[in-house]
Amino acid sequence: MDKLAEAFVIALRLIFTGDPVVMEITLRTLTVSASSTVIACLIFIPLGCVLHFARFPGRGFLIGTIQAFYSMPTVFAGLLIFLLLSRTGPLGELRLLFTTRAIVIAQVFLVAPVILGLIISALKGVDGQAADTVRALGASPMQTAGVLLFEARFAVLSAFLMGFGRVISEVGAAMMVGGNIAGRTRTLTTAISLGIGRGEVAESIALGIILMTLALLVSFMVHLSGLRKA
Amino acid sequence: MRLELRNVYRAFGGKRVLSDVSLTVEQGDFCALIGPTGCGKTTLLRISDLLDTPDSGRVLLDGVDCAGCRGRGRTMIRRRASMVMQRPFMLSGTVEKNIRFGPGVRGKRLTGDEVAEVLAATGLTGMEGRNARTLSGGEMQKVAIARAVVTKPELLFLDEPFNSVDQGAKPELRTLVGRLHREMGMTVLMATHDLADALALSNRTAVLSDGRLMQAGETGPVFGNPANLFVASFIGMKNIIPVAFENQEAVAGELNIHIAEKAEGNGFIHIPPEVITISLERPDSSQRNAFNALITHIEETPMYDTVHLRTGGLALQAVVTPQSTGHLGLQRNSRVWISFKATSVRILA
Amino acid sequence: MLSWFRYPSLVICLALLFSGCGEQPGPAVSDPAPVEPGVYPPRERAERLLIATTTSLYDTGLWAYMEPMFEEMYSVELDILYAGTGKAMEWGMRGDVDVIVVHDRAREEAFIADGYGISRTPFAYNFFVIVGPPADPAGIRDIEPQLAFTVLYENATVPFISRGDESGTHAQEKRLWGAACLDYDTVRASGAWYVEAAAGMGPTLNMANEMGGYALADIATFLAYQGDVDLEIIIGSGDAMRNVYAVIPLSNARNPEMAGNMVNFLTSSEVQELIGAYGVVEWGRQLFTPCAGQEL
Repeated sequence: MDKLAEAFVIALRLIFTGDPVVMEITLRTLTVSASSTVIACLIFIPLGCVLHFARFPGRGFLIGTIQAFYSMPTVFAGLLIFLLLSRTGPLGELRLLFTTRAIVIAQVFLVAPVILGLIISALKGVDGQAADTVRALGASPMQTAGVLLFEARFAVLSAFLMGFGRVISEVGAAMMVGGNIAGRTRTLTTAISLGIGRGEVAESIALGIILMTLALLVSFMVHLSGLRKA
Repeated sequence: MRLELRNVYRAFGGKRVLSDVSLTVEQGDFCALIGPTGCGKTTLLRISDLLDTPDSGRVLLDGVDCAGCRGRGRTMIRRRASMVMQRPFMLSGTVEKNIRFGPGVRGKRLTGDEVAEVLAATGLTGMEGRNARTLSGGEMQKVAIARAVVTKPELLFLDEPFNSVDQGAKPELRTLVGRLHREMGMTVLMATHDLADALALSNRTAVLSDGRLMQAGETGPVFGNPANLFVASFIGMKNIIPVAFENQEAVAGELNIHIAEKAEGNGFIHIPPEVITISLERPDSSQRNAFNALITHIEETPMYDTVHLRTGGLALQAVVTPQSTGHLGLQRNSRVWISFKATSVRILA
Repeated sequence: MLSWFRYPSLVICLALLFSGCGEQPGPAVSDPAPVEPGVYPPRERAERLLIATTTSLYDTGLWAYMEPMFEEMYSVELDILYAGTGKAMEWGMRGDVDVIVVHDRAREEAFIADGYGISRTPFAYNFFVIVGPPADPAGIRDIEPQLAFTVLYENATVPFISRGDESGTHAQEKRLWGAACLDYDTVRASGAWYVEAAAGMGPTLNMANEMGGYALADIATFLAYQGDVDLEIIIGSGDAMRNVYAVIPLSNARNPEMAGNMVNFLTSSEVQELIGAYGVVEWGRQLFTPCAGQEL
């Protein structure tokens, strides 16, 4: 027990003295996770709008399938992207494997169902009359989607935050396509997993505290945005 | 803008909502679309405003077939029309934001004066900064009307616009709609189940029942001359009597009523309450139909009295002025004579 | 119709822009060893060399020690991936790395025979050791490794924790079972005493510590963990226990010239001396014996 307490103390010291390695890993994690979430939003929010407004046979089944993939195992996403980006794979020549770009790609793939599903839910939550009203006032389909997204803006923000929370705390995909290379693709989660394996308790706790703080912050913001409904 | 629907069919999930509806609303007309709840009025309006596509049939706006329009073309045509829904959806934000929305999506920015003008026209002056969702039902409907007309539409659709408004605010809104129609010269198609609206505002009326158009034409004649039983009873007419026709007589109960045309078989006749004359003594034979009747009760209003009568096994109503009631000394259980011309009796299909 | 493509292309451009971030190479050390000799400021270098090494070698901190020196000398970004020998070889077969540094001669030679690797150059060795509880419950201290394995198998109560991950260490373990004339699959199925950790050296040692059992480890990793676990070296020598590390540049390396440089680097007299000196100050004994040029 003493050892644990001692490790905690060291961990806090690492954080508050701004240990360069810890800071570097944290900054990289934030950048990668933010990029993944933003890119996923840019792609899948419009796609979510299209799915919401479209009517075609099998639509309900498709949406159900999307929701089933909310908890896609991260190693599955990692494996798929690894096979895609490996030298022997279709995109091998792009030399993306074992870079942060590969992690971003894998995470975008991972978080896609979450963003899609939550956006569709968000739009469903808007008054049914809204779309007709806005169209009747002369809005084009894109303008209509924009207005509806605005009306559901707190739910859309929640979707973003949930997506961010999912990618920042995943380790399977980052490990597989990033390789946990020191100084290049090491993130909070992959560093913790390495540290634990090696018994580097203090460093792991430090990174763990930072990760939990970020996750709590995100959770808190989701809660806040849920309280405020338009 | 001229609206024409030709043979429009629309069904939802196997249930037919509109059948073979053909309707024309000329430029500048104010057409009331009346009918009971669920008869397809909203669907008809949505199809006319290109918010929905008919399963078959044509929608012509200013002579251009629009039913199959897509994408940008559809949006551009729709921008020449406007619609006010039953329970208006307020965009989140202020009243002013709602008003600026229509011009905004067209890339137009209103001047402060233009906003003030439309606020004044709809009686919303001073409320531009209010959160639109905190307004009362009537105020919201005014905002909905304001934002619909600020884009100067050529065609305005109103779907039971006074439904969610309390009684006190209705006359004001009704007047507003009428005034906007006159001042802006737009074509209006208004769905309503309140006949007073139709009578007050429209110059044309179309009657819809169960997805079919029962009658359409100028308002006066539609109300005065209902084409069939449905229209008549919907319009709420009194003195509709099931009869058996024999030559130029309609037999109902113990009464033989003289009518102006030859007819056969069974059917209905309508005796408008206002054509029934009440007298204390049997009238002379210039009126072909005269019957003895008993007054069952009298409904008094400041404008007119409705006298309920029983005669020959039938219940009828007559409308007289309060002065006549006093003058004739009419009261319950009085025995009187009622008379009406054969030509005043309407035969309903 | 064209307007359809505007939005997706904008997204793709942004994506490429964004994902460039996070690439800033920070201080390349996150391992316990000090950065010696000299401290080099991190620089963004265009050229990259990817090497895959075994977890046991990685965990000793030797790579972190040598990395900045190599990077500075050859003006290249050295990216070090770690995995069990089997996985490292798989990466090599796919061409996702340029060099592999592993410790399983038999498999290495097969790898080269199959054409994946160009050559095999041993550069350092140490010994495998069998570690266990200080009380030595199975009574196998200082006997021949093969004999010790036989004893453990027949005893079948004191736990033995295997790497179980197709690593070089695992391969050595299997060789020892073979040397004890025991069929490996039979051993695996023979009872709860044989535990397959399916993990790296560190976690395996931790497990042995928790369960009060034995394990096969390389001396370097064990020394690094000695302070944290209650285990001792029970059997520490024997020719069969030699653990030879070799560097193999890959046939389809993206950067064959730099791969060659890595071989030269590891076998250069300067680096050989550094390898020999590694760990002496910290743990009181040599972790690796340099052996460039020897037939091992």
